[in-house]
Formats: sequence, structure tokens, C-alpha cells
Amino acid sequence: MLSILYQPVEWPPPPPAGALPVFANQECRLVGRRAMKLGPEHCREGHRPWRAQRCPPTTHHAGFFPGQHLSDAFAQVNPLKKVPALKDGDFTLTESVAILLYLTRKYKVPDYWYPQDLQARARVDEYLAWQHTTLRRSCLRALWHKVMFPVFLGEPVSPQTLAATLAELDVNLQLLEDKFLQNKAFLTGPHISLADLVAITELMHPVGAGCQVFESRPKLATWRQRVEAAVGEDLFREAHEVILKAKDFPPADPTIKQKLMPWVLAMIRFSLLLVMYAVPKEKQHCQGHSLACAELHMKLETRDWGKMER
Amino acid sequence: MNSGNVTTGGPSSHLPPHRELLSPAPISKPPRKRSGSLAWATGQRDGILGKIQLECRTQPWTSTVPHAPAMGLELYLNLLSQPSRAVYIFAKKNGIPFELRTVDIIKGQHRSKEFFQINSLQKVPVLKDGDFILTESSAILIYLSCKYQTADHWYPSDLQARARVHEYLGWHADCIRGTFGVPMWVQVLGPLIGVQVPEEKVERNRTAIDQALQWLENKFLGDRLFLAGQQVTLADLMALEELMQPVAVGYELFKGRPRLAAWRERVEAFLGAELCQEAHSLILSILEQAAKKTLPTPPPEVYPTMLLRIARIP
Repeated sequence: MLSILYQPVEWPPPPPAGALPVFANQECRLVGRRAMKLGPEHCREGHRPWRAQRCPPTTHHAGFFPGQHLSDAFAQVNPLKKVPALKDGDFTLTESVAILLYLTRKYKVPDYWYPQDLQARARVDEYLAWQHTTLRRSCLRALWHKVMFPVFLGEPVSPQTLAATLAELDVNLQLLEDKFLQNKAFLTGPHISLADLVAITELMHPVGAGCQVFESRPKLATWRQRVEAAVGEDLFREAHEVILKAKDFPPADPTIKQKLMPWVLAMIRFSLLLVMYAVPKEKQHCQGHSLACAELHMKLETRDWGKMER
Repeated sequence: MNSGNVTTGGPSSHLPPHRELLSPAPISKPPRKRSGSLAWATGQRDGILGKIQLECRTQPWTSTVPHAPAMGLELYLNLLSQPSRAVYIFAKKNGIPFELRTVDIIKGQHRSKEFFQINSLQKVPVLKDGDFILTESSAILIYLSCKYQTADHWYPSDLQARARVHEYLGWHADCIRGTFGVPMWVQVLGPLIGVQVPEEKVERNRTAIDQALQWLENKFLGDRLFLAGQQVTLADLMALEELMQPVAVGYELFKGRPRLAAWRERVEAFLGAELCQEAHSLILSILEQAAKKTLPTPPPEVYPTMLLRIARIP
């Protein structure tokens, strides 16, 4: 996952004795140590229940340059070169949901985060599984297409691509409301859970990019307020301090840009084709969902995406 | 695609080839009448949704069986779907009794108003346990393993061992899911609606598959017997069923990957040849069905979602 830029630090930093290192970007901050700030949403998730409950772990680490997760040094921690990554003695763990669940069980946080009740827990599992390939993806794309491409990478995004991405985000926000939140206080029931934590941190991406996520959705807006209140408004603000200033990121270093481009190009290809299917009919250029439309889109694929219109 | 038989044995009973599953078979128990339930057989009793399959546990019901469930577990599946197969295999392997509700996704039955009441996301698999409805295969697998207290190795209670399963499932969602299903769309499902996916996309997908297999073999399998440890877990089941999808359309995923091939053999040996045949027979005959033009024709209302799925191929 993308790191957010800040001052350079020595990598890898030596862990304090007794600490449980959570390698995240420099934006991760944990109670008692004040050493990390949370950047990517996973890192923010990885600490909030414990900060809110004022209990261990109190570990922290690492600052990241953007793209520093692509370095060989970090590959020793996580060969997949992604954040977040957790190191507990000899045990290294990646994947944000896995880390969250590990910390939940190890430090015996209050039951509501990940209930013991079979069906209540299944609801959390269901949301965590669903969001991975849906809301998470569209939130990330919204951030990239609205801000990170033009500001960070200096690569303007066509209006059609942005429209498609925002349309897809809209679809997933509707599913979040209709399928998961419905008329409940929180996503999986009357109490906050890991599902709400994961969801709110994802949604901060498009919010940070300037998207109107909550303004036209009063139900989601009041849910957000409840989540913020449950987590603690200070902690919430602190955790999202950086992402909410995404528009102010300075441009990327050229070598970092080169490393990131293959991944971001794949994202552009996907989104541009979505314009024909995800954008409402009245905004589409083609006549609707037809085979002729599909043929046109297949022809579009033969264009040289390296020469996208600016 | 329809399982019309009622099996009274377990996974060890003789299994007919999938074509014979489509024809009516003698049943040893009458199907339970459920008043007020959804009218699944909407005038097509001989078709896909008219039959109910009752699965009996291999062990007799005794007081020592913990959490003995009421006979009400329903699984809405389609054996063309990778996550559906994982759920199906898990339930059968562990002798979990369930009623199989086959949802014909090519004919678009997952898009029907009736199925919308079951799952508003219009996808399979879906679990229905009394009034409790659950979607997402990993959530269903975890629910079943906990409720029916399956052997610990599937979803270990050990903190770090369980974390490994979740670590795999997280990576699986990003790098396996969505990628390994593409060859089926390219070779079978796209052509079914007259869409040909450009070669450029096919090549990119091959590269993505190769890269994912490399990570699968090196990071997750490594020197271990299975993906998340030394015993079979839910991770192996999810992975195997995704890998079967391109295998079914001729991709030689295991060629030149002896460790991965050995892993596959271990998993299939653990599940048992008959269960694997039962679960895989439909998907492994898909090319033959496509060639003989015996696949159902998707109705026009399904085209938009199929086109959208094809458009998502990077």
C-alpha cells in the first residue's frame, strides 16, 4: 500500500526493547510512545482500539518515504513490500485485517470489536471480506484519481476516468448503506466493531481527496459521527491528520514515480473502461449496455495508454 | 450445473458424472415442504432450482455431537464459482448437513427478485441458517468451522497459526480473486455473449497469474506442506478452488512448479479423490460443454453485469 511522504529516517530503525514493532508509515502514532503517525488506512486501523482503550501494545516504528516500502531493506520485513507489517519477536505478519485480528485476540480488547458470539462475529467477517475488493478499491482509486495522480505524480486524469471512479465509489457507498448499515447504529449491530473501523478509515481517502462522501448521505454522516465519538474525536483527528491534507502533498521524486507507475497505469486502464458501465446512462456516450458497446470498448483497449490525453 | 440427487451416504458414495446430475433421480427422503418459503421452482421444476439435495452427516446423531444443528442449513451455491466450491467441499468433507440450493448464474438466476431477498449483493455462495443469512465465502467458512467445531487445523485456535490463515485470505482477495477467474471469462463466458477479450489483456492476465503463483509458492508455501502451516487450512481450500478455474480451461499452472504441484496433490489427497471429482466435475467439463454448445444461453438482462465483469479485466 502507498506510503505517505515525510522526513527521511534511517531504515530499518532499531526496535526499542520489549516493543512490538508495527511497521507503518511515519503517520502511525500509538498511545504512550507518540512516535508513529498513521498514514495508510490500515496503519490507522492497527492502533485505534488500543489507543481508545488505553492498553498495550505500545509499539511503534518507522518513518517512510513514499515508495520506501519498495526498498530491498523493507523487503526483509515483508517480501511483498507492502505496509502495514507487524513483527512480534520472530513472528512477522502482513495484511491489515490479519494484523487487526491478531492484535484483537492477543491483547484481549473489549468484545464488541470482534464479538465472541458466532453470528455477530460472522457479520464482522462478512464485512471485512466484502470491503476488500469493493469499497476499499474504490476509495483508493478516488484518492488517486482526484489527487494523487495530478498532485503527487503530476499525471492529470481525464474527466471520464474520474467520473467512472466516482461512479463506482457511489455504487459501493450505496451498498454500504443498504446492505450493511441499514437502520443500525453501526455496520454490524448496535456497537462499534472492527468493521466500522476499517470502513471509516477507507472512507477518509475520498474525503481527503475532496469527494462529497457524507454530504449527500445523512445516514452515513450520522454513522460517522457515532464512530468518531466511540473512538474518540482527538484520536480520530490525529489519525487522519495527514490523509485529510492529501491535496497538499508535494510532487514525488522521479525514481519513486518510476517505481509506482506500472501499478498506477493498471488502475487507469481499469477505471477508463468502467466509464461505459458504471456511469449512469444519461452520461454515457454509447447507447447503453449492448454488444456493440462492448465491441467499441474492446477497440478502445488497443489505444496506446502511454499517450493518454492530458 | 444442477445437483438433483439426494445423497444419503457421505463423500464416499459413488458419484455420477455431472450430466447425470441434471436428470431426476430417486430420492430416499421426500423434500421438506417449507410453507411460506421462496418459490424457487418458478415453473421450471426440471430445471435448475427445482431440486433439493439433502446431505446426511457421516456420523450418527448422538448426544456427544456438540451443537447438533437443526436441519435448516441451506447453502446457495454454483459449482462453477470458485468460492462456492470451497464452501461445498468444506461442508461435505466435514459431514455438515445442508440443503443444496443451486443457483444457475449463467442463466442469471442470481439476478432474480427471489434471490435478491436472499442476497441483495446477488452473488453466490450464500449461507442461510434459519433466519441468519451470511454472504462472503471466507465468512461462511469461518462460521461453519466454528459452529460445527470442525477439526482445529482448518481454522486453528492458535493465535499465530490463525493469523497466517487471515494473512493468506487478505492477500488472496487482492492477488488471486479476480485474477484467476479471468481465463474462464476469456475462453468461455465472454464468447457466450459474443465478446472477445483482446489478446493484450489476456497476456497481462497471464503475467499477473504467473506473478501470483510465484508469490504463492515462495511466500506462502515456502518449505511448508500447506499455505498457512503444516496442515490443511481454509487458506488451502480457497486457493485450490481459485487455481482450478484456469486449470479447467487448459492453463498449465503447475508445470515447472513442482512444489506447488506437490501441494495440490497433498490437498486433493486430503480431501479425497471422490469429493474432488464431485466438486470439480462441472468446472472441468466446461470447455467440452462450450465446444458442444450445451451451455445455457444467458438472457439479455444478465448482459450488463457480464459486460461489466469483462470490462474490469485490466
